[in-house]
Amino acid sequence: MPVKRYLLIESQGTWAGPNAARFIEDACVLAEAGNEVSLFLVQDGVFAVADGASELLKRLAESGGNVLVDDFSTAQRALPARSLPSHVKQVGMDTVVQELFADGCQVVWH
Amino acid sequence: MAVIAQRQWDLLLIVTAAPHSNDVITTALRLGQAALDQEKTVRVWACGYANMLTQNAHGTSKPVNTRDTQGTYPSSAEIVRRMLAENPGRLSWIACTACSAERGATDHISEIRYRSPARFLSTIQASRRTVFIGGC
Repeated sequence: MPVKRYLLIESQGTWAGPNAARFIEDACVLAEAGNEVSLFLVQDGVFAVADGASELLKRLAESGGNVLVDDFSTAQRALPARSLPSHVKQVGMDTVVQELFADGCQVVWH
Repeated sequence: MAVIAQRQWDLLLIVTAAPHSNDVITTALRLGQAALDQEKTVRVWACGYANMLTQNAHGTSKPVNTRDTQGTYPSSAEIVRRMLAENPGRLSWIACTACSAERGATDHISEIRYRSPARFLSTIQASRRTVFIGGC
């Protein structure tokens, strides 16, 4: 099966319901299937780096996925860069645009 | 026979999420601006309550901030107007006619283009990338 490229954007906090964690798990499954996956956490989605969902983020990183977190959203929520796990990369929206326009990228917003 | 080629845009942001419920509009505008900064062309399709953002009734500035009474903050309509003015031909903001009419929100600033939802699919087909920002 040909490798595909995905950009998954999670904007909801993990307390908003089970779908946020499921969305991150979708990213893990896609990466484990050999696809190129970037997960971008934005708005309340950035809290995933600070609670139990981190295990899923680690799983995604270990599967070769990129775990990206929005610099503006983390700053607004008092999550300093030094508090982020090593498998999480803090980026600006310019990086998201580059990911979005990478060849063959499919994007899903949640 | 003449063939009319439809213009292709780089990015279409479909915003169905209600403004003011969270910071989704800020994110959408940041994403659109970042794309413009990288020389992309951007279209925004405002759906649902996102059509409230560009109403003339907003004026140019927001109501007084009681924690900063001397400060002046542009309204959402003014922000969109400025972005359109700064990016002529590279940014377009579409108001969904049905969503606007349903909400009595048909008095958009003059820079906004009206489009029927019947053209939703063709608008998507005219963009290289589409990001559907939901959450009504």
